[in-house]
Amino acid sequence: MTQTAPRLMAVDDPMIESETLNRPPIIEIEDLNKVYRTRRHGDVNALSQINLTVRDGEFIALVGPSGCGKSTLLKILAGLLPRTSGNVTINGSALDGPSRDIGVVFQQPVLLPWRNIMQNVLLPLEFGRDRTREDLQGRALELLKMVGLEGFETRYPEELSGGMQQRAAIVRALIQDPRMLLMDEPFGALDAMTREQMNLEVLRIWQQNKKTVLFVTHSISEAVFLADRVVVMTPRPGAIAEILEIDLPRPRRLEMINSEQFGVYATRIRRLLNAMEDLS
Amino acid sequence: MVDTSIAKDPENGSRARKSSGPLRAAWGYALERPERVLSPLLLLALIGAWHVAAMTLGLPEFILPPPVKVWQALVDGLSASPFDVGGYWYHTGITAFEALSGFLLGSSAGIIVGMTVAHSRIVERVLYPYIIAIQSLPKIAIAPLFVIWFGFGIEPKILITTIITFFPLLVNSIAGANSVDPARIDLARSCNATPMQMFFKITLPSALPFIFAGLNMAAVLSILGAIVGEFVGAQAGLGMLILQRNELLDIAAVYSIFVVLAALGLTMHLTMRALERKLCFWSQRNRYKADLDGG
Ligand SMILES: Nc1ncnc2c1ncn2[C@@H]1O[C@H](COP(=O)(O)OP(=O)(O)OP(=O)(O)O)[C@@H](O)[C@H]1O
Ligand SMILES: [Mg+2]
Repeated sequence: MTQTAPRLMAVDDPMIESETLNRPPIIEIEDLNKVYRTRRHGDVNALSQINLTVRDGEFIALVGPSGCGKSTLLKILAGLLPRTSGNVTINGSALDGPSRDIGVVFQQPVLLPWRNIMQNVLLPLEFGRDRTREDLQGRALELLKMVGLEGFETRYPEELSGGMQQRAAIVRALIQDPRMLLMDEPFGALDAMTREQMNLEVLRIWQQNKKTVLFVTHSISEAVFLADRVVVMTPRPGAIAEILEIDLPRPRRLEMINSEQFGVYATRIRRLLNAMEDLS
Repeated sequence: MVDTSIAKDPENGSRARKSSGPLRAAWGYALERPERVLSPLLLLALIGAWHVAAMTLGLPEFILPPPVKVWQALVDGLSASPFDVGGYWYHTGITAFEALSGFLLGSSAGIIVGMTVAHSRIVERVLYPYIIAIQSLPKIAIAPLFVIWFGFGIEPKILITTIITFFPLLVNSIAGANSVDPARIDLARSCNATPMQMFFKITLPSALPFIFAGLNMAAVLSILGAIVGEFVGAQAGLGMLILQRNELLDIAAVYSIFVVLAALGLTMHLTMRALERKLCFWSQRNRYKADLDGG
């Protein structure tokens, strides 16, 4: 951690407040590029010169039009996709492959239909070469309780609603107590009401467990409501257009969505996104 | 398990009537599950029609033996000891053994080879045209060759059954392995799954519904393989018995062996079905079928 401190000071971002500045960086992305080589469409420049430093415990939201590379970025960080060039440092060491420090929540819950909820939630423990044979049943029960799935341990995924399934998927991502959570439009398939509930849930989990969260969404208000910083991305090629510091008090409450300050942030992001559409 | 017993017709009030007398209960049952009453009734009606036809049409017995004669032959055949080469049990045992061993050998080989082939895209692409070409061949046609190579014992029958059951499982295993939701693979990879873990915890269970579709097909084919193998040349088995009784113009006995074959096929089918329901209880297709027969 000590050798990363000087680099931290060199980050050229006037918006960073001293409070967040004091926290060590947990994800450092430098000049990251990703080119998909396809046979039919040639090379697709999915990410171009991405630079981003995420600090420990920070909540980052990623917004941007469809196809701007949000999922690509998350998959690279999750170790699921090789990068074309650039450096990514996670928790002090260079990124190579999936890490136990990272939990991933996908757009779909991806629960295995032949396993009940408890077995699904414990699935990550059965993977990997150096498996810890620790018994996390108790922790799983605790987490399930936290997300309101108590009593559903022996149910099968298809007996649960979409929102409940996604909550189970979040518990699965948290089971090995990762320091970072990557969430790719986790609530995209849910109705507005459930979505608000889930947002509050995520904030609660984040605050209780002191995780670092990278949260991809299409919804501007969701991004502003959740995040410490909102990263706005542009398409073709995917790049960062702007990073907005969201200076709303914590804990966030749903009423804040109607506040003036919230509106200012939302309008700013919407303008940025609209400008992109005019360009294309 | 999941409660699939949701009543399908809304005007069905049979549950309320159930308590008021056994006759009413039976009636209620018939309303709720009409197929369970109609299926046996259909059988009775067909046997009745057969009987009437045999009595009135005046066809010779080697074309249309009356049902009573067939029943008589069946009872005679089944009352013999399992070691009596003149009885049915002995030959049923031989045929069932041929079919079952071929089925087990062929389908497990099909699953193993299919999963291995699907693992490598290039191997799959190289082999696929051959697989399709061989699959469309009537593999039964090599049965005479096997008799020349391996003689009149049970080995050529097991071999032909193995070959026949191999292909549906090969093709279905490849299809099943290729149909695994990529999100499941991403999930396992994000948890650092080893190739073995990926296979046993994701690929194989995901492919199970496809594998069972192949197994159901192979179960039927396995009996076909054993019978045809016996037709070509055999010393025992139901296929051999059919040919023997055929030559004696004992057509009632031939018909009664059909009944035995049908029972064998049904047993095989129901066993597969029970296994599928146990292992594949989560698959959609299975839910629907479970719904159909009320279990
Ligand atoms: N496997 C792939 N092969 C080729 N091109 C790809 C592949 N995956 C993504 N792309 C391209 O890369 C670009 C970024 O895709 P990505 O899925 O990261 O976008 P996204 O921001 O997540 O979009 P959305 O909001 O619709 O989910 C798109 O132009 C897409 O067409
Ligand atoms: Mg995406």
